[in-house]
Amino acid sequence: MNEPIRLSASGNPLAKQLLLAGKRERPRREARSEAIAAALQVTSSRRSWLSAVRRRPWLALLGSSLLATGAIVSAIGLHHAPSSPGPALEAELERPISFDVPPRVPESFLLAEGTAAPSIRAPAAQPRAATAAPPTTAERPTELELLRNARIALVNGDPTRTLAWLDEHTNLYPRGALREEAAAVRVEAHARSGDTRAARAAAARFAELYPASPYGERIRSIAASLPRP
Amino acid sequence: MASVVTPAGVLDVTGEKATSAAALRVRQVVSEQYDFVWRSLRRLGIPEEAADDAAQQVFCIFARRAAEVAAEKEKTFLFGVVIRVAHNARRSRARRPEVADDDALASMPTEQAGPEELLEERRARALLDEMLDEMPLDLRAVFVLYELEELTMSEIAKVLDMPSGTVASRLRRAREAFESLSAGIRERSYR
Repeated sequence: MNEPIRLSASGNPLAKQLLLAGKRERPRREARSEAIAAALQVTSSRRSWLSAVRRRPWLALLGSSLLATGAIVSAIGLHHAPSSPGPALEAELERPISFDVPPRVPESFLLAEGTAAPSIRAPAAQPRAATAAPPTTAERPTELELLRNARIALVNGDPTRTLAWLDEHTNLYPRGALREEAAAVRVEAHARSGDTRAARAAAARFAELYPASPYGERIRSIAASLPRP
Repeated sequence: MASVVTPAGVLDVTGEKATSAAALRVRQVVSEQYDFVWRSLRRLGIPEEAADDAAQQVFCIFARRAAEVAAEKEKTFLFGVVIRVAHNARRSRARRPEVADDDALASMPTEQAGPEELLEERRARALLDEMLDEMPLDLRAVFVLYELEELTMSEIAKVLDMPSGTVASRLRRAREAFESLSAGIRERSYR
């Protein structure tokens, strides 16, 4: 197949300039890890539900009736899925992007009061206070919620509370799908709290556990910026 | 194996084995394809402030269906979802008359927007998007994959799951449209 020379190399000057500007655009660095966390949460929710059905077959019946109403389609993702993105995706994509999204402020990552189901998109309304303590009641936050709260506390300059949320995550999900993300945030929390020793130890542990991590570069950069002992 | 009682029943909260393979793949696909998906969404018309959420949605859909997507079809699947998201976004904007500004392209480069301003990256991208908005989505998708993501034509044929001849003809039409638009804009800018 004859490939024409790309316009960014052969077009008129304006075409070149615009296309090069388009090529240079990059997403926020954090956006990738947020997407990883959200996608893993979906994987985790789906696995947990399937596991529950294996243990309690009657749940499948319950699930079927609820699915018929469309009530939990998006929350659990157990509906029939095509092997390629065909027309069946339309329903799922009918509720997609709000073009009136509020600015991305840290608070938008906080939990809404009473939130129980995992939320792929950050709830923006009625956030719990940024400095809320880790939950001590019977409510069970999702991994994603705990990680989000840990990150918010970090952004708000409260690494102690970040570590409290991370400890809560470790307690509730010792083998959770977001352990890698939690470990990365922990390194940063120790570094920001000024606990150089703990930050180094956490970074070393991270490198040992997740040698091929997409967060590896960031963790190495944090470790390199720590003051010498 | 640890478990917890919830209103939905007894859930496995460890599931180490099940986690590893699926989660590893999802993590890897998001890591490798995030920039491609995000930039494709942007160039197919998703505004910057909505692109993060849109990309997240694309990967959540992938995560939900990952078991049914063959490894060699991942990019095809992702771009298919990207196109649908972009298509819905277009429809959504078309329903809002205040956003449908037919004169937007013509009014972009005017006497007050000289060549110096066009050098500014953000403005250049806004202009690029205005020009891409003039193309139908099928041409725009091929143009974005070839000119901006630098895929080869055979790769595009695979990603879009269409014959090579169709890719070639769409690309030719898209390039002609783009060059004609940019030439017209240049002319007006320097007039």
